Amino acid sequence: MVTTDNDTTENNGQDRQVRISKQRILLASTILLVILGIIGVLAYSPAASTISTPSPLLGKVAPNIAGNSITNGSYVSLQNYRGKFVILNFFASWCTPCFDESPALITFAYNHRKTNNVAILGIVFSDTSSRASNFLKSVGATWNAINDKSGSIAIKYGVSEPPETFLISPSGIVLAKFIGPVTLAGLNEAIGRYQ
Amino acid sequence: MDVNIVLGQAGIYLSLIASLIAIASLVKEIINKRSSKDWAFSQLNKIIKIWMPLILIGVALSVVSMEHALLSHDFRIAYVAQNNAIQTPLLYTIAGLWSALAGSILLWLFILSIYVFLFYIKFRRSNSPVIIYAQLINLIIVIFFLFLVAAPANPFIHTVGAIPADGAGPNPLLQDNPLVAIHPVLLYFGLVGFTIPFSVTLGRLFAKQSDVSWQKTTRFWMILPWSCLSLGIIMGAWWSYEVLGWGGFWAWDPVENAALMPWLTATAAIHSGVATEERRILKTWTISLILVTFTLTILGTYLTRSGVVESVHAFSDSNIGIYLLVAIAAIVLVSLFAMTFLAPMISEKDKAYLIQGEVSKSAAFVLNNVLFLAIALCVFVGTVYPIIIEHFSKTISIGPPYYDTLSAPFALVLLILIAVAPVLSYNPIKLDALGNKLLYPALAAAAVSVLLVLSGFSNPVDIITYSFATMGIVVAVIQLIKNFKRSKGSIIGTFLGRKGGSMIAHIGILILAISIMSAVTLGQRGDLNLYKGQSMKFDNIRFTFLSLSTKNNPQDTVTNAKILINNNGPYDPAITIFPNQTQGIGTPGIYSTPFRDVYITLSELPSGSSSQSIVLGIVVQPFIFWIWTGGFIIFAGGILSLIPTLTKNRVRKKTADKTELTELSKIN
Repeated sequence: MVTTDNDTTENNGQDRQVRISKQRILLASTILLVILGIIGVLAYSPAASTISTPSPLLGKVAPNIAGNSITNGSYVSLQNYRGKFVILNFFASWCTPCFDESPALITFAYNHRKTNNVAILGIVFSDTSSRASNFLKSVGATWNAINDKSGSIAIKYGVSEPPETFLISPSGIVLAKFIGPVTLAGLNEAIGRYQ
Repeated sequence: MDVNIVLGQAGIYLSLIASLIAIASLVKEIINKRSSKDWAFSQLNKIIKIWMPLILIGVALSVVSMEHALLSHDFRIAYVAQNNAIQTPLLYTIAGLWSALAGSILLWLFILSIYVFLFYIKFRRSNSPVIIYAQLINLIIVIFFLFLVAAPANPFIHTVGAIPADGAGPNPLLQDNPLVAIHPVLLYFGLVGFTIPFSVTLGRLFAKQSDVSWQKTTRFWMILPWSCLSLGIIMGAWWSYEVLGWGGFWAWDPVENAALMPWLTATAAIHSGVATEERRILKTWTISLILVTFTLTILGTYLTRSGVVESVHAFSDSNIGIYLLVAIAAIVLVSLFAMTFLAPMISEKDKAYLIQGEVSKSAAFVLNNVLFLAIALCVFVGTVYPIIIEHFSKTISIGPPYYDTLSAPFALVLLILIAVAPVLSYNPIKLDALGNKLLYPALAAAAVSVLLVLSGFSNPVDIITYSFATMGIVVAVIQLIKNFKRSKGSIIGTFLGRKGGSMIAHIGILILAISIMSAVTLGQRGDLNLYKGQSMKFDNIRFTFLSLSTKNNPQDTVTNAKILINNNGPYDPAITIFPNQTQGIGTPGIYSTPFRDVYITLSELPSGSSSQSIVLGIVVQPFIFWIWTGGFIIFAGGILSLIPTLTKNRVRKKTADKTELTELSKIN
C-alpha cells in the first residue's frame, strides 16, 4: 500500500529540529570513505600514455646505434653509454608532440645532472640534420642526437610515429617503451621502478 | 602582441572578476539573512544584475577570440598550431575549439555560462532563498571551470620558439565526418546542463525547503539536458559507425561509459521525480539521484580529460586530472553533508511510504529506478575497477562481454516494464483489470512472437525483446490516442506535455531497442577479395569493384576504391593518410536504406602498384537507420514534454481573460 502524505502544511525556511540518526551518519561516513578511497587511488593513477607500451624489444638487449652527433659532430655509440640509464628519444622538428614533451625531457635531464646516471640520446626521425639541430637548440636541449637518414634505426626499434621513447638500463636492456609525448611523472616512475 | 590572446585572456579574467563579485554579494546576502532573517532581494538584484551578464559576455569573448584565431590560422597560439592547419576545412577549423583538451574545457565553460545565465534570467525576480543558494552554487562551479581555463588548461598560450608556418592540424579521426561538429556540442549541452538541477537541489536543502513544487522547477532543467545528452550519445554512436570503420556503433569505451552513466541516473531521477511531483513520494531518493548525476558528469570529465584511460576520445598529456578529482571530492563531501544533515529536515514524511507487493505506478517507478541504477553500477564498476586494481595487481581489461552479459538481464526487465508501466495508476490495480488494459498490446506482442517463431527465431531473448518492444509501442500509441480524446482532438494536447512527450520518448527508446537487437543478432560480416572489374556475391548482395585511385592532396593522400553494391553507387571506401601522421584512416562506404545497411571498408590495399586486387571488408546489418531515428525521436519526446510548462499557463490565462471578458460584457 502506498500511504499518501496528508500533511499539507509545508514548512518552508523554518528551522525545525530533526534528530539525525546515528545510522544515517554512519552510512554517510562509510560512503564518504569509500568514495574518498577511490579518489585517492585515482589521484595516484599514472596517465595511460605514460605506462610502457608492449614492444618485442622489452627485456632484450637494445640494438646498437652509432653515428655522428648532429649536436656537435662527435662520434656517438649507444654502447658507450653503458653504466647509465639511456632515454632514447625518437623525434622530428615537424612533430608537435615532440615539442610538447621537450620540457619534460629537459627537466628530467636537469634533475639528474648531479648523479650523472642518466643520458638522453635523440634519434632524428625523417627530418634533415639542420632542422633537427635547430629544433633542439630552440627548445634548449644539449644532448646528442643521431640522424637516422635511412630509417634503419626506426625499423630496428619498431618506431612508426614520433615521439616514441625507450628507456634502456645501464646494462643495455630495453626496460620500457613510451608512445606519444613523455611526461616528467612518467619518466620518473619508469626509472624509479628499475633503480 | 597577439590580439586573439589578449582578448581571449581578458574575457576569462573579466568573467573571473564578475563571478567573484557576484559570489561576494550572494554570500553577503546569505550571511545577513542568517542574522536578520530578512532577505534584501531588491538590493541584491541591483548588484548581480550587472555582473551576471558580464560573466557570459567574458566567456563569449574568449570563445569568439579562439574561433577567430582558428579561422585566421593564428599559429602564434600553441593550441591553434596543434589543432589547426592551413588546409583544414572550414567545418573542422570551427570544430577545432573542441578537438583537444584546453579548447573543450573552454566550450564546457561557455555552455555552463549560458545555462547559468538562462537560469538567472528565468529566476531574476524570484525572491526565494533556494534561488539565492542555487545561483551561488552555479557561480562556484563557474569559478572552478574559469580557473581550469585560466591556469592548467589555458588555450591561449603563446607558441614557444619559432612560430610555425603551418600547424599540425586536428587529429585525423576528427576531420572525417560532420558529426564531429555536432556530437560533442550536444553531449556538452547534456552533461553541463545537469549543473542546474544539482544547484537547485542543493539550494533546496540549504534553504530547507520541503515544498515539492521545486521538483517541477528541477524537472525542466533536468529534461532539457537529458534530451541533449540522449541525442548526443546516439550521434556519437553514429559518428563512430560512420568513421571508425568497424561497422559497430557502441564499444563500451570508458569515455562512452562516462556519458552513459549520468544518462542512466538522470533517466532514473526523471522517473522518480514524476512520483515526487504527483504523489510527494521518493523525495529524498530523487534528490540523491540528481546529486549523483552531477557527480558522475564530473567523474566523466575526469575519465575523459585526464588521460587516465586509453580511448579514442581521451586527450592524454594533461594535468587537470588532479583538479577534477579535488572537485569530485568537494561535490561528494557537500552532497553527503546535505543528505545526512539537511535532507531529514525536508523529508521526514518519506519514511511513512511503503510500497509492498502491489502493481501500481509507484511500484513501477521504484522498479525502474532499481534497474537503471543496477545498469549504472555495472558500468561504473567496469569503467573504474580496472584503474583501481592496476595499483594492486596486474592490469586487467574489461570488454564488451562483461557489459553485455551483466546489463542485458536488467535491460530486458526494463523493456518489459516499459511495455506495462504506462497504463498503471497510483492506486494498486488488480491483475484482471490490468489484463483488460493491456489486451490489445498483449495481442500485438503475441502476434509478433508467433510470427518470429514461424520465421525461424528460437532464441527466447530475441523473441522477448521484439514482442515486448512492440507491446510497448502499442501501449504508448494507445496513451497518445487517449491524450487525443481527452484534449478533444488537439494536437498540442496529444503530443506535448509530460503525458505526450514521455510516450514519444518511450517510442524512441523502443525503436532503439528493436534496431539495436536486430543489428547485433542479425548482422553478417565477411571479406571479399576482388580484382578490378570483378563482381562477387556476399549475403546475396552483389559487389562490383570498378576502379582504384590514389590522390595526393596538399593535406592528405587518399586511396579510393569505387564499388557498386547491387548496381547502386558507386560507393567509395577509402584509406586516408595524413602528413605528419603515419596512421591511415579508413573511411567506410555505406549503402543505407531503412531496412538494412551495407557497410564496406578497404581492409587491404594492393601491395604493388601493378596489382589491382583489394580486400573488401563487408558488414551487412538490418535497421541501423532506425537507431539514429530512435535518437531523434527520444530528443523530440524530451523537448515536447517541456513545452506545456510554457503554454499551459498561457492557455489558462487566455481562458481567464475570456471569462473576464464575458463577465464584463454581462455587466455592460
